[in-house]
Amino acid sequence: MTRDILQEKILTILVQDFEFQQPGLDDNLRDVHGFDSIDAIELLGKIEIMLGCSLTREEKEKAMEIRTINDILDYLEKIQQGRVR
Amino acid sequence: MQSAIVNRALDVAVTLICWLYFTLGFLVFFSPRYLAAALFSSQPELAFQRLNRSFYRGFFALLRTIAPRQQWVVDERIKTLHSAVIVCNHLSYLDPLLLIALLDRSKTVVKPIFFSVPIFGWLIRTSGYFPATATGKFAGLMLTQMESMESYLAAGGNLFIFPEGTRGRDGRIGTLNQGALKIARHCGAPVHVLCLRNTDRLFIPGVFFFSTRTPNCISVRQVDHFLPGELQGRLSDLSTRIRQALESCLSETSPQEGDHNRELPSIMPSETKR
Repeated sequence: MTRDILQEKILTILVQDFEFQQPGLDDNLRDVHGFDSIDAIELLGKIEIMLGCSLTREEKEKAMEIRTINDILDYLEKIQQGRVR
Repeated sequence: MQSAIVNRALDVAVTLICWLYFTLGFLVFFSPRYLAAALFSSQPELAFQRLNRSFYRGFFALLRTIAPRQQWVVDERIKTLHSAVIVCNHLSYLDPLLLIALLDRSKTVVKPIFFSVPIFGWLIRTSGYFPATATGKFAGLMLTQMESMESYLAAGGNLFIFPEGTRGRDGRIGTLNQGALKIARHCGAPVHVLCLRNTDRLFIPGVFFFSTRTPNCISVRQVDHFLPGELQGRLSDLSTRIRQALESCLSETSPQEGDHNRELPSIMPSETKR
C-alpha cells in the first residue's frame, strides 16, 4: 500500500474507532487526542487486520514509541518494506 | 498540651507497629510463602495475588485493632466482585492496599519507578501488576499484561485503577483518565465505580505518621456500574457519569460531621461495619 492509502485507512480508524476529531498528521497523539498505550495496543490489532499479517513482539514494542500519525505511517512503511524483503 | 503529646506519641506508636508489620512481618511470615509460590506454584501470578490479599488483610486487621477510633464501613458487594474493571477515587496511599485486601484477585497499575525497587519490584511484577507507561523497557511488560488481560478477567480476576492517576488533594475529583474504560471495553468486562472516603484523614498525604486519635469513619462503597453493553458509548460521556457518581458520593455529609453512630447505618443497607 502507498503512504497515501495507509494514511487514509489510519485516519479512518482513528476517527471511527478512537473518537479523534480533526486529527493532524503531526499532532502529539497523547497530548492532543488522549491516545495512550492501551489505544496503541488496540490499534496494533487493527493494523494486523489491515496489513493481513501478524506483528512480531519486537515490532509491537517499537510501536509503543509512536507519537504522531506521521510516526504511524513511517512505522507501517517500514513493516511493509520488511515483509517485502 | 499533655493530651496533644500523648496523642502524638500514640500516632508514632501505631505507625511504628505498622512499619514493623511491613518489614519484619513480611520477612518472617510472608517472604517464605512468596518464595514457595514463586518456586513451586503452577500459577505464580494467582498465588502472589492471593498472598498480597492475605498480607494486606493482616495489615488492616492490625490497624483496626491498634487504631480503634477509626471505623470501617465496607460495601459487602465489593468483596464478591469478579471479572471486573474497578475504578475508584484516590485519596491516600492506603487506598490501593485497601482494595487489594478487599478484592479476591486483583491487579493494578503501578508507578514505573516501583518496578526498579529490589524485592518489591519483583513482587509486583510477578503479581501481574503493570506500569503506568509503555515506553522504553516497560513496553514488553505492558504488552504482555494487556495481551493476557482478557483471559485474566474472564477467569475471575479484577483490575482496579485510580483514573485520577494520583491522589486528590483538594477534595475534588481530578481529571479522569479513560484507560480503565478502554480496557473494559476491549475485554468486554463490566466496570464498577467505587467511592472511598476519609482514608486521607487516617494517613494524611505528605505526613509520615498515621493520624489515629481523631474519630474517623472510612468507607468504601459501590456507587455505579456499567455493563459491557453500556461501554460502547462515547468515553467522554462514560467519564462524566463516573465523575458525577463520585462527586455525589463525596458531597454527602461525612459521618463524623454529624452524629457518628446514627449516620453510619444509613450509608447503604448492604454495608457492614468491620
